[in-house]
Amino acid sequence: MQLQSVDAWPFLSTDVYQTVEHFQDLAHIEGACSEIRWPEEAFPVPRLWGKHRIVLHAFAGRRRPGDFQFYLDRLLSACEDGIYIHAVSMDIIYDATLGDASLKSTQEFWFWGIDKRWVVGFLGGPPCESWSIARGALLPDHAERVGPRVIRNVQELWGL
Amino acid sequence: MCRNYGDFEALGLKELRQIALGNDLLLFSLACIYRLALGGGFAVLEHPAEPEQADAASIWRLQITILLTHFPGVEVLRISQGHFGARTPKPTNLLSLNLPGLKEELNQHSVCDNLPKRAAIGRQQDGSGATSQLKEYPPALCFAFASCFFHHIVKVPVAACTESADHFLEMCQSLLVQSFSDHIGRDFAG
Repeated sequence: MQLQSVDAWPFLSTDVYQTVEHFQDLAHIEGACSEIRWPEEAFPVPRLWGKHRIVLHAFAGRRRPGDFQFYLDRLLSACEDGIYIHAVSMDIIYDATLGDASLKSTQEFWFWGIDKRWVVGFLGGPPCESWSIARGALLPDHAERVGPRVIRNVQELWGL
Repeated sequence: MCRNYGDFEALGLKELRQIALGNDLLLFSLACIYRLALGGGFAVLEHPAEPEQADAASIWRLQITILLTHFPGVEVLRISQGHFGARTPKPTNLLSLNLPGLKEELNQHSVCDNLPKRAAIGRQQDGSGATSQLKEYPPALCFAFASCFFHHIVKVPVAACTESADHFLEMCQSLLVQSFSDHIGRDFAG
């Protein structure tokens, strides 16, 4: 009987808990990912979605005619299914906090939206400057490298 | 391991910041897609195509990305943004999640048979990077993405008992942008 009391289980009465980091560093994540063997057969995932559905357009840049949202809104205006798709332009030019994907609080906000099934789509090209093969490239009329240095290679994909 | 930093003995602070930020933003994107995969969501991750050079870095060579490509409903398509109107060929990989019609949409919306011959390396006369304008997807590519997302999202019927998204939408009001802008921002440091 005593074990049926909430007081017997401290974690039941704790409002906040600390998340546990399972990985020490990026190399640890990479090692773990390389060991997983995932069954490739599709499995059914229930899609319990409401009428408001959000597509997170990460690193969206400026709004302009002919952008992703421009066409999505046009397609939606002809849709009579009672479903509303909201394209969110996630970018620091629109909101210094919610648009900044490097902030932990911002990341958790969007993860919350995804886990609650409000955010149902993601479109994004994370910045590629540090990955670019243009780094270290020689220009045709220059004998020496004039661009930025290479800062990642295949042995050190997460950075030299 | 002996590291080759090019001209110097170590990376500079700016370069270290670029790496840290680039890693952060990439991991955020991948984490979003992993979470969407668990809930039946849709996604497109866009990044430069895997280079031919065996020693070059690419996100497509990361184990965390390779694992994602083995998920059901995930495929990787290689395109050239030049076929959609970009000023340079811009070879690009697209990782798509639960968007089986994307390849057909892309074929349907391609606007140029021949790729442009220009390259974008170095700086322009105004000092901005030559790749600045190329970071925006050409309209034909946006149309293909929008059309594919739209048709898949509206196919899923509205479930009877779901938690309202109103409060969440209110919180991200500042990012529901309707007005257009002429200003292309600076290249991000990632």
